[in-house]
Order: sequence, then structure tokens, then C-alpha cells
Amino acid sequence: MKRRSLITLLVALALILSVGAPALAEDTIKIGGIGVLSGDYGKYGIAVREGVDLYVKQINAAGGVLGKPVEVLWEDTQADAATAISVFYRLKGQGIVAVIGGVLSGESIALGQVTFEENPPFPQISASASHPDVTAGRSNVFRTCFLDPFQAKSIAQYMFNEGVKKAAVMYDNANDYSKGLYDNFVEKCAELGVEIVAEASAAYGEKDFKTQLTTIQAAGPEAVFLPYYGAEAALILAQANEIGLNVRFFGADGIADIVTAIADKNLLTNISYTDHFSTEAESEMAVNFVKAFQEEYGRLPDISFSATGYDAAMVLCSAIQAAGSTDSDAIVAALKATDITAVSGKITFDGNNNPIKSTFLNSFNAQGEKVFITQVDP
Amino acid sequence: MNLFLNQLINGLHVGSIYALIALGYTMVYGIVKLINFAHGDILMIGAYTAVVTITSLGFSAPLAMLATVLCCVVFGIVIERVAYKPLRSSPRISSLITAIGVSMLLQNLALLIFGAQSRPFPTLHRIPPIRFQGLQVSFITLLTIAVSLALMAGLTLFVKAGKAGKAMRAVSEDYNTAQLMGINVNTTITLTFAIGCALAGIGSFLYCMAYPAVSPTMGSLPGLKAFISAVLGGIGIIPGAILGGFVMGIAESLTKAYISTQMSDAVVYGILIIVLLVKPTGLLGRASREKV
Repeated sequence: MKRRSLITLLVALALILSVGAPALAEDTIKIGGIGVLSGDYGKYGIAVREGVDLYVKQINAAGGVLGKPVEVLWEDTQADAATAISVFYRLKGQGIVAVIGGVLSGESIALGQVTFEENPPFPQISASASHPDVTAGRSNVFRTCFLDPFQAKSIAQYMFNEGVKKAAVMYDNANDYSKGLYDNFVEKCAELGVEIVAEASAAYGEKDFKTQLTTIQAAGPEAVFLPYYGAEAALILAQANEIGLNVRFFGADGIADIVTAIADKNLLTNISYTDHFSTEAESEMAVNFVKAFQEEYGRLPDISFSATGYDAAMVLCSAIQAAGSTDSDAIVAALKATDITAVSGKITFDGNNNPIKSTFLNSFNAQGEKVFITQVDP
Repeated sequence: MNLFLNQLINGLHVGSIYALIALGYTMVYGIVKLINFAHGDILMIGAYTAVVTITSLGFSAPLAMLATVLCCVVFGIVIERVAYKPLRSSPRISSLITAIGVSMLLQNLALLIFGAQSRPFPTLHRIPPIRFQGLQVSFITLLTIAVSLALMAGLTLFVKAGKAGKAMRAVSEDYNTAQLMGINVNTTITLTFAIGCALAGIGSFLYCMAYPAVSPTMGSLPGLKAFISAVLGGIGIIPGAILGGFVMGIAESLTKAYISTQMSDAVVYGILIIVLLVKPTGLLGRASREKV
């Protein structure tokens, strides 16, 4: 008898709660923020959160979404995929309509599997996870950071814009990062009519690049693309200078750490590389973002994921507004149709829900400080 | 044609560095029949000495080179006295394993002191490459080839003509008889290590000028290639090490240029295998008869 009364009580409690939840959901639009916010990688999650929170604050000041204020409920995954999944269920119980996250690729892949298996698939957008599997084959998962190989297309586009007719590539055939960039670069060059006059391959960890550079030099390119990390790029620049190959060099985000690997900082003025965002970007959106970020947090958005986080929130809120409801299917469809200009440039999504967007080209001055060159639009 | 010659010069550049290091291997093997696997790490010690003296102590390039050579020589002598001398009469395998141990000790020591991240080697000159009828040779290449050739000539002369050189040849021919003839064997062996390490020191300086990154494990690969050069030319024979180094360097460079960059090591090792199959004592090796 006693046990039955307990069960009755519990059922009644559950009923009250389940009635209570939708009643609350009508007051605000809740979005789950899931990602690593502590530990070694915490800084990335915090950068994303700062960007998202800034946008949400602005949109709420402007009247919210669908006439309601937006609220982001943040949960720390501690970089653990299992935690990401359990906090997702907890947040879902609290009435969220979409997820921004995860931050790292591992947690995002796990989270994407769970949101994809929801019925209907639950809208998810990541600001920083760059592994192809995060969105691959999942209609409901999007992201606002580009994949590594994508940057090569921007570099090809920039070379074309600068009037380069003959380009050369040196890459590492055995490294996915380098090979992916190489493939995309060659593809885009063919599309634009930039001739690849020489290509050479040299493995990661190699030190002697002079043979390859001599071959490249003989072909007379106007620019050379180097999809390498900083350590190799430093050696390549020094040896290119040694043999008198003085053309412009280009790299992707992996090259950014070249500053610490090179002794002769003068050589750095020859190389440009792509990044997700630059605090010196000149578009109106970007300038306003940097200004608002400084007012809110008292410093520059140094980690680019603050900008992509801001964009993730913007893309998601715009999609909810466009969908006209918080229904999962409607939001996913609206996300898919995204075509907006955000802080990190113009964003649309390709067949795998990866963004086709602008990149930011940086170089260095002779002191080794980062210098912004231009924003390259797709 | 010009491209081919340019690539040949690139090969000579790498080859002369291999040859300089190979000399150390071959001299030590010739005299105590020990494959000194720590020799590649002497290269690394030299590189760190150069970086520290130039960037932290502000030495000029020639002074830093001198410091590098001195440091390598001191390390070479200490290693010989501490690690190899006590084992001279034990089975050869013990010394070989000790050499591997010393190599690991040096690498981890550098890792502990300098950290795993590679350090940039400072740029020491601003001389543009020399161009001549479509050919072009960089200053470092010229310097490396010239210095190497001069050192090799000097060493050959030293071993052939000098008294100490004669003692070296005598010890390498017959250790015990040389001792009976009144040659100070210990001094001669130490001298051999010192000369080998001095060459490695100069080699490391030239190597860093061409490939300006210094890390604790940087000596392994050039060390291995130099060892192979020595074997290719016939280990224990000084002209053999020089020839082996150049053959290695040129084969590597031409393979990279005309066949495939991924294949370069395979081709080089392939050449080694073929040479050893056809002539097991190496290119310049002579078959020695076992004396009963």
C-alpha cells in the first residue's frame, strides 16, 4: 500500500513536470551549448561561448527570435564524448530546440551521431570541429568553421585575383592534411585557369628540399603553394632563399607557427597563409564584431573560434527565424538553405553541410608579427 | 642539361656532408673495429653548441665554428675514455651495445636540456647564389664542398705522411704488434676519435647552415646515412668513406629529381644492397685473408 502511494506520487510529479516544461519553453527559445570549457582545450570552448553569448545578447536586445528572447544553456563536456552525449539528453529534457557544439572534433562526432539518430534529427551546429566525419552523412549537423583542405581553394582564388598565371606546389604525399590541401588547390587552379608548372613532393620530417626547389625554380612559377606545418615551411623558405628562388609562398593555417621555427624573420615577409578570421578584418560586420567583443570582454577576440562561434549563433538564430517555428525538421531545412553574410564572411553550405565561406589571408612583417592582408571571398 | 648539373651540385653538397661524417665512422672502425653509433649524435652536440654560442653568447661565425669543433672533440674523447676504453678487450658486441647506449644518452640529455622542439639555426650570411651561364650555386654549397674537399685532402695527407698517421695505420693493421713496436696505442686511438669528432663538428656546422633546424634527434638520420656511406665505400678505408658519401648524396639527389622523392631512400639502400652483394667489402674494400 505504501509502495503504491509512492509510485502514484512519482507519476503525479512527472506529470506536473512534463506539463511544466513546455509551458516554460514558450517564454524563451532555449539552445544547448555543448563543448569543452575546462582543461587544456577549455580555451577553445570558452572562445566559442564568448562569441555565441555576444550574438545572443545582441539579438535579444534587438527583440529576440520569433518574438521571444533566446537563452543558451552551457554545459562542459570536459573533452569527453560520453559526457557530451549525457549532457545533450539532460539539456533536451530542459526543452532546448537546437545545439551549438561540440567544440572538439571527437565530442562533436559522438554528439552528431546522437542528434542524427533522434527522431526527427535534432539541429546541431559546431563552430570549431574540423574533422570531416562531424557532418559527413548527417543531414542535421552543420558547422561554421571550414575544413582544412578548403583553405587551398581560397589560396588558388587569391593567386588568380593577383594575376598569377603559373603556380607550383610542394606537398607531402603521405600526409592527409597536406594531400587534402594539394588536391583542392590543383582542382581550383584548373577551374580558374592557373597553370601548375611544377609539383614536387617531400615527406614530413625531411630536411633537404633543395632538389625539389631546384626543379620548381627551373619551371619558373610566380607563386609557390606549401601545404606544410611551420617546421618544414621554415626549412623550405631558408633553402629557397639560398638557391635564389624569390617568389611569393603560400600556406594554410598549419603554417602559422613558422614564426618560432625560423631565425631570419625577413624571409617571413615572403609567405602568406589562411586563417578562419582576423581581428584586423575590414568588413563592416567584422569591424563591429571586434568592437562589440572588446566592449564586452575588454580584449581582442584572439582565438578565431570566437568569430565562428558568433557566426554559428547567427546562422542558427537566422534559421529559426526563417523556419518560423522551433520544429526540428523546419530548423534543419532552414539551416540547409542558409545564405548570409556573417562576421567571418559569406556563408552557404555544401552537400556535406560544410560552409563555403571567406578565408582571411595573413602574412608577417620583418619582425615576425602577424599582418592582415585581405579577406578572400569564395 | 643545366637543371641536371644543378641537381648534381645539390647532390655533391649533401654528399660532402655525408662524407665528412662517414670519415669519423670509418676511422674509428679501422682502428678499434667499433661501429660508433654515437657518432651521429656528436653532430647534434655540435649543432647545439653552434646555436648556443651564436645566439646566446653572441660569437661570430668562425669563432662559433671553432667552439663547435672543440666541444665535439671534448665529447668524443670523453666518450672514448669513459665508455669504450674499458671495454676494449671484451667481445665486440659489448662495445656495439655501449655505443647505442651512448647515442641514447646523448639524445635524451639534449632533450632534457634543450627540450623537444626544434630550434632555428641563425642565418650567418647574405651572399646571393652565384650564377654562371644558367648554372647557379649557392654560397653554402660552394663553402661546404670546398671545406670538405680541403679537409679530406688534409686528412689523407696526415694519415699517409705524418708520424701520428703512420702510428694510426700501424694500430689499425695490428693492435698488439703496434704496441710492441713502442707505439702509444691509447693516445693513437684517442687521437683517432678526436679527429673523427672534429670532422663531425665541422660537418654539423655546415649541415646546420644548409638545414637550419636543430633538434635532439637530428643526428640519427645523417648519422645513419653517413654510416651507410662508409659501408658502401668499404668501412675502415678513408678514400672509401669519401667516395661512399658522394655516391650516396648524388644518388639521393638525382632520384629525388628524376624518379620520385618517396623512392630516394629506397634507391640509396638498394644501391648499398647491390654493392654489398657484388663486392661484400664495399667499393674500395680489399678482401683480407685470415691469418692463422
